[in-house]
Amino acid sequence: MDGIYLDNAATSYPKASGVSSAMKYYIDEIGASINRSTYSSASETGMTALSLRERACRIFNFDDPTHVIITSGATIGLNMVINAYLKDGGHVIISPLEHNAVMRPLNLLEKQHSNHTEFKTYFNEFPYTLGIDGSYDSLSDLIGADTKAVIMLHSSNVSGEIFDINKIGSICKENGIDFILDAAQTAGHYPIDFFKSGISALIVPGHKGLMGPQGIGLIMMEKDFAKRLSPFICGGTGSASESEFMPEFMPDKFEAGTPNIPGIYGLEKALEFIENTGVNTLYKHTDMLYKRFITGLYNLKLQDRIKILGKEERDNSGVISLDFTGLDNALICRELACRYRIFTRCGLHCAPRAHKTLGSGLRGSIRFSFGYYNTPDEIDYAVKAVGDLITV
Amino acid sequence: MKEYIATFHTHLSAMITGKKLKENNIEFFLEPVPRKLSSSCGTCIRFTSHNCMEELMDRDCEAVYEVVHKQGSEVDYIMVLNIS
Repeated sequence: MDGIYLDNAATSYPKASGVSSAMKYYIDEIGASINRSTYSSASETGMTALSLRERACRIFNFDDPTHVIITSGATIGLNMVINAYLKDGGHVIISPLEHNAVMRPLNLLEKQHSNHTEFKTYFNEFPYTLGIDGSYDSLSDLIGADTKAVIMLHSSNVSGEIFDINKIGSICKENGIDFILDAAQTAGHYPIDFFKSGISALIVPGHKGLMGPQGIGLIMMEKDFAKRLSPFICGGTGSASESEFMPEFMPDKFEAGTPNIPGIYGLEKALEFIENTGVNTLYKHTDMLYKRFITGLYNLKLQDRIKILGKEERDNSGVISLDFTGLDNALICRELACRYRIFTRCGLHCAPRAHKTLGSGLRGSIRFSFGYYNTPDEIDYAVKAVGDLITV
Repeated sequence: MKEYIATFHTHLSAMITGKKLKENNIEFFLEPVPRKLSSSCGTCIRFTSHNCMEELMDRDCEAVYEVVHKQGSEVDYIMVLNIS
């Protein structure tokens, strides 16, 4: 790519070393399906998928590879969980920064259940300031008799701010409700401990912080949660084929059809890179870039013309959104790309609720999102470009 | 030494068991389940050992059979471990 790629929150680039080679190897040299046959190449695909699940267990401190479910991405993973979990309605609590991958399934269910006489689906968001003053009482106050879960993102894809999931998970446990976490913006480059955070279901994409290919993701499900959840997508599993009903055994219960096997090879290789590099190392790098960018912006002394969205008191996943006062964010984004070859994303980032909460409404923002392969020099260049553009 | 076949509820369970056998230096073969045996998933593991290696079988293993070769190509399967 000829330019400076600062759009890693959309998808990471470049991918982890070895990802494309692993996918090419599968397509050119292996080619067999998975969970269907036993010849040597078919067995190899099964062993590679097992290795992928085991690596995910180690990265997220999870304990059972049979409860690591391979999906085609985080959006389908969230739909699988949310639709099955709320098929009989219920109340859930969300964050005020949710992405449409959570909001659209929830709103569809609310609408579908609105005329139902026996149950309905509805939700409330917790206050944006949750935890900033050290208090989480406002979350506990929202939990009622029919509250089933907190369903929320770990980090905003707009502002990058990270919620304290240990605290939130602990409150869920105390109140006997589930904690369903969308880690689209943190998985791979911010530490997540499945059990320490009291997570019921953890949904992650393969192509963002995990630095794998698009079209693959994972769900990690706590055992009791998996037992309670119905399958959402049904079909062949290569097991229990005498039955026309989905099997209860894991992961087959939630893995119908042929998965993205090149994606399995690519993501397995990406997770090898994540394990070898270390999630903490990856976080330290993006955090260093984030802080350098923020410091650079403040040094421009243009605070009256540049609004940084979000709360800087919170940890950040390497994402900064800027709203340029009196200017069209889209045109700034275009100038960054055309004049400086700096690639960012403008608009609403599929998260209108977040922009409403953050005060950028329908104007949206320009999002700069950093990855492991970005350098301090690139950050400095981007800050200078921002300064040049708005002082011309 | 005896010959065994282990059957499973899922392919993943067969893979997990195969990996454990390998880690314990027990040679194994992933094969289609003989039609004489009913099985949830179509993959079984054939291995040779002093015993049926119950401790290495995954949680979703269905059963382990001892393979008894009779005259000609006739084979009997004697269930030695029933987990399901």
